[in-house]
Amino acid sequence: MRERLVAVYGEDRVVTDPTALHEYHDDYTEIDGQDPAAVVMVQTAEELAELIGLARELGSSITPRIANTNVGGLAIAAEGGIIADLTGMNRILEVNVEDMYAVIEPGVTQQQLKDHLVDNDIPLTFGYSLGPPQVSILANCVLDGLTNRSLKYGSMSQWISGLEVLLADGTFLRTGSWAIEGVPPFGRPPIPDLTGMFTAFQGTTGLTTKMVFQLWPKHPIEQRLFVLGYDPHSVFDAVQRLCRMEICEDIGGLSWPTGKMMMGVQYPAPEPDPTEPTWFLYVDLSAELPEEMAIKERLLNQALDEQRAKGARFEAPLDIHTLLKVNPAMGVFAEFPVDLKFLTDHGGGGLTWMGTYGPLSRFASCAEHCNEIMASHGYAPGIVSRPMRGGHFGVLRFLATFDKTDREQIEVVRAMMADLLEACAERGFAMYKTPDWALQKLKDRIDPGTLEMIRKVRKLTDPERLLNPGKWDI
Amino acid sequence: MEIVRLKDPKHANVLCLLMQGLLKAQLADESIADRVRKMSGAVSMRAGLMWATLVFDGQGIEVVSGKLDDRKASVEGEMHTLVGVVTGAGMVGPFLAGKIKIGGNPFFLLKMLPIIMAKG
Repeated sequence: MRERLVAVYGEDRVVTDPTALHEYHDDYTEIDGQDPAAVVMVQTAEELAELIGLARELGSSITPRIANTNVGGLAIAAEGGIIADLTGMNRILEVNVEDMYAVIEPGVTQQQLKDHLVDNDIPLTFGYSLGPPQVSILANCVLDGLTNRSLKYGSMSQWISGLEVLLADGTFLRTGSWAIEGVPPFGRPPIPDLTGMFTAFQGTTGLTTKMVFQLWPKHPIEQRLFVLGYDPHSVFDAVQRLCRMEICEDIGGLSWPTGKMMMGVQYPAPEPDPTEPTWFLYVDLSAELPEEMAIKERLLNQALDEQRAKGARFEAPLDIHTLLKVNPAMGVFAEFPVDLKFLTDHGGGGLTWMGTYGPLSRFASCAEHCNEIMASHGYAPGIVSRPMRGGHFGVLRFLATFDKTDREQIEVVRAMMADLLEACAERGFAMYKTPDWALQKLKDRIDPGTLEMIRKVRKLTDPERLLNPGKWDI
Repeated sequence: MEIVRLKDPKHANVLCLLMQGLLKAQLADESIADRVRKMSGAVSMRAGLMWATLVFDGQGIEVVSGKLDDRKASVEGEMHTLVGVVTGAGMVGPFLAGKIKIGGNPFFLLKMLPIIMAKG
């Protein structure tokens, strides 16, 4: 294998040394790792197409990988598989300021595109995941993740205006208006939209080599406020109210353990102090004029007062820059993208999550139930939440850190994640970036017709299962 | 021994964690740290419903969840008022406006004030 790969890509871009390969063994999670047979640093779409052909000849497979911060085992190679490291495919091919889009390759990172916009004085912006600065924008989109602008603009697949996809047979296709010669990539209408065949399929139907990504206006006045609440019902009622006021760029909710972890407590006790706030909401507001900002602040306070009138307790909103003066640890929420090192830079190094999308109306009861599940496993309930798409749905994500060398703790984490998945599924929540362990538990809940069509799509696009085998394996 | 210590971090409330961060940043200034080493006694603070106590023990400050009966002074107010106190408003204005309640030895509080007034 090495000789064949080196002949095409050169010594410097092929890794087969076992020690170096082990770097690609796993991710942060409890999911079992697997050393790839080789890693190839791919730099162009054509090189990637050639690699698929080589994998076919060699009886191998291709798993695409960029930052490897996805914590669901989705970028772990199959046995004997080749990892296509796409960090070198990192060109920003176009930024169209007038029509508000960027055309980017898979390796373009959050920080890279932000720097590009800032350095060129482009008054546009985009959303940032809570992943670190070096994560791929494209990967988050095709895996249908979320960002801090998902409240306004939806999950990340909804930000895609078009894709260029490499199929397993080595051919390329385009989705969206971009597929029509001479038509710019303004969006996915009006021709049949094939984008969905390549989003959330985790690279099993094709490898995305270019993406048209929507950018949005950046307003000159921005403010991030923290609101501390004391019970999930009033907190999520306030969130729903704020969604309907349509005044916020983002509303993020952190449960108290997540807030405490941010302030340096690695393993908070499973139960909160009865006098302390249990939910930290961060609310982003933006405006063109100070008067507009003042009205938005007034409406935010009105939403909180409505809850207070019903007996709920909320602390008054605190500006992040004020909080930063009080405690520098709050700085991680001052500017995105951010590396939340408190989740990964601990002795054990393990981080896992069970993230779901579901209806806001069920957030409080689901969060309460899952609090109990996490506490029963000895974990403080680390929860991150956010309304999305104007409040039509949202994300409820449960986080746990652990010691990757401690098998006993890994088994606890696995059991807890399985319990959380079951509890969320029963309450109408669906896991996103679904790892294989979760898919195997969930597939009986998926409509048989849907499953059959997924099988047909996979068979059509990749009959030999060359692309990221072991994912969406139904 | 660290000059700012948090008692029982696992169970420390949010106010304690905020105060710990503030004090760590403040006491990086050696002149403030020297002042702290000359103080002894406890001050309990309430922000919203939470209490935290700063115990000055001659070596530094221990931040403890809850209020201590054996304290020299206390300060009580809403969270945003207390945040205002440490980020520039000080105690006098909010006290005169009836936004904070102080108890015990006011001179000890005045001595403590520069230590908890954020420089950032």
